[in-house]
Amino acid sequence: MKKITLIYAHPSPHKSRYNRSLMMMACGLPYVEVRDLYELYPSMLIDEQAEQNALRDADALVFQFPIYWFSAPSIIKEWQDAVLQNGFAYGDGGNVLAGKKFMIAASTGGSQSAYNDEQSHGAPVADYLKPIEMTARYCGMDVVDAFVTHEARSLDYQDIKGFSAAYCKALSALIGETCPDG
Amino acid sequence: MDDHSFLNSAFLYLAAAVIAVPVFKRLGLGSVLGYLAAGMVIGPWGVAFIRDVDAILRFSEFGVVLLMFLIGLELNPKKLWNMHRQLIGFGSLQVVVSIILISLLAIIGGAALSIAVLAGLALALSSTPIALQTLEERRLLKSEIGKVSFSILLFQDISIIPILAILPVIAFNNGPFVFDLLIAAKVIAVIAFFIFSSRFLIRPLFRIIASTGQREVFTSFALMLVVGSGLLVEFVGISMALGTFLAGVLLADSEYRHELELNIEPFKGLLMGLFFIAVGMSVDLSLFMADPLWIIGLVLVLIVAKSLILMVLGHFAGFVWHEKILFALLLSPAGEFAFVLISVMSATTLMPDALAKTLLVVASFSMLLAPLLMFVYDFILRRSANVDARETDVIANEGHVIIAGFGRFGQIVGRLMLSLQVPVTVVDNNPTHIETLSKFGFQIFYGDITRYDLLEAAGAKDARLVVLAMDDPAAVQEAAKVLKAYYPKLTVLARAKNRGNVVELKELGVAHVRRETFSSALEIGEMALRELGYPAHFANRVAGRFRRYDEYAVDEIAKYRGDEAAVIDYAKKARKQLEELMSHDAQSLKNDDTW
Repeated sequence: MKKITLIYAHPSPHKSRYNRSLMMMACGLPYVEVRDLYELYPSMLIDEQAEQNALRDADALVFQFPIYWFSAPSIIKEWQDAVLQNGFAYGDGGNVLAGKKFMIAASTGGSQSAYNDEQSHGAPVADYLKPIEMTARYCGMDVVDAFVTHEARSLDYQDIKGFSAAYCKALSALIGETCPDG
Repeated sequence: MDDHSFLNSAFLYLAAAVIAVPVFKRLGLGSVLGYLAAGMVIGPWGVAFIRDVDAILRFSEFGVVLLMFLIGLELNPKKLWNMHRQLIGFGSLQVVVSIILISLLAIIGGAALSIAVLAGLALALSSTPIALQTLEERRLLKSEIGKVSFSILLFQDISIIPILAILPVIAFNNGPFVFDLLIAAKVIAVIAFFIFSSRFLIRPLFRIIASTGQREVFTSFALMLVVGSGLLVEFVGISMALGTFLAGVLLADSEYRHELELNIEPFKGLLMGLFFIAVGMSVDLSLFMADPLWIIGLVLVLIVAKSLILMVLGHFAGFVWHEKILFALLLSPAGEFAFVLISVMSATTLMPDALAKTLLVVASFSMLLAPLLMFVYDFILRRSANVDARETDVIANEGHVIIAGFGRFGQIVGRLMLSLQVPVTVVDNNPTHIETLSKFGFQIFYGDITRYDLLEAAGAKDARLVVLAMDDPAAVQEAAKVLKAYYPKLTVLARAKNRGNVVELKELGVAHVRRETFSSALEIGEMALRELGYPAHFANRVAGRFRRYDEYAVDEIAKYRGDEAAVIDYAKKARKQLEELMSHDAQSLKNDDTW
């Protein structure tokens, strides 16, 4: 079976409804390995060996996080710095990630209309995800369009159920699987 | 009674209890019925090993006194005040309406008004020991049923005072009851003395006695305290049970509460057993044989009448139907006060002898029948299996953290918990810890955590976690064993002395184990690295890596346990691995391919 490694980063998981629901859904999929970074590394000291091992046999890598200050939560950057080493992800013999799919699943507090030129958030979310996607591309990965949800705080239970189903489809499509619930 | 006959009968009682109780428990009939049956067999109407039932009954009633003291210990004045509404509301309704209903039934049955009221007074009250023992066995003491039942029983115990006070007045001068100022003054003086001495006399004494470390002296003192307070209140005319209850309430927020409970508990258990046996013995089977249908009829009328009232009260308390039935069966049988009141009535010639005897048989049969009905009820409930959706909330879960050992280690854990308002129960057996720390508002109990009964008293059943923070690794290990044996689901965190300790504790099923000096030593190491000129973040990461690796290695070593050679071999390999890991880090520091 093909496999997705899902890197989950939420600094205050007890306050999250949207991201937690989606993450719990993903945990239930047999072909997804969820790695909850803030839970695994409460002091941000990433175990790069363990992380690299989780990537070796994966066919797709997904980052799931809420947008904080026009970027990912800091542990994502820490993860990149620690895990994507020379000889593993790039440089001599650094081809472990090459050819794998890559997708970001990001949620925003602000509305979609605010993420625009001339608006309070200045530019579309896709612009702010570019450095992360570029990193993946640099490692030879095949970047898929991000799964973005705006105004995640104001979603009700029904909305979240809908997004969860869409997320399941988006994840499964990465490795040619079909979502168990249709 | 010469020495020998005392031992003979003691042996007989113990043997009867040891045989009957396990059999009845196994049959699902409960221990109370077992004791009662044992009493009937060895009593004057059974094989007649024992004849002087009254003496035994009077002696074993002290078990009820101890029980009330223990109940008092569970309730501090604040908790007692919190239940004043239930106490007065449910309690007074149950007592007053039951008295009226039973009296009415007696009048319908052809009794004179005064006799009818007396019968009502005697039979309206319930059996505290039966109800509480049953609640305890079903772990319902802290549930809503437990609370309401208890407040009714407590109200009954209080109402026994005026009833006993009025009886002789009715008997001898038939005049109105005159409120005796002298008695009132005495009662107030005794209560004031209790309050004063519990704070300024008893606690310092406990401290002194606890510091001697002599367990039996502590036990003696505990018993002395209960007997003493009982005698004192009896002297001024309050019932012993109520007086010791009061003493218990006043000691409820003392740090020695759990230890007191533990020391009194076995005596209470034995005497309560003896009390039930005595009740069993006092069941006059010959009267029953003379007219069994009449007696059974009376018993049923009594239980049905009281049950009806209790079901209505249960409705007000918001119970679902199966809770109402349980509640009614718990409190509908007549209680031990029936024996007291009936004997007082016949002694003061208020009641004809024949009637008194019949009432005694009815009272004791109701105490016999209720547990039987309870058994039938359980059986039916289990058969029908569709118990109401709203289950009885068995335990008002306190969700506290128990910290065992409150020395330098446990204090840090405790302060961290309290900073987030996590409720903490501390158990420690060092009197100096207790004395200093109770000043800072910690709830601390004196005792030895390796004892199962103390764990039970400290609420291990309802606890979220137990942290074993004692100094002595052997004690930590012993406690972990006890916890594992009795509370396999409870999460335990433990302090260890060294690596070997960690392995042993992990094998016992302890969830998290930490070596007591590891973290601070590592921090000093990190500081040393910084002093040597390594960058702060680098030093921190190296120390973190070292921690991760070392903890992993301890887990690995556990796999080779028992094989000395393999352990040494692994240890060598591990050191090499660590060096490699660290040199890799050090290398990364020297690499100048960064920008």
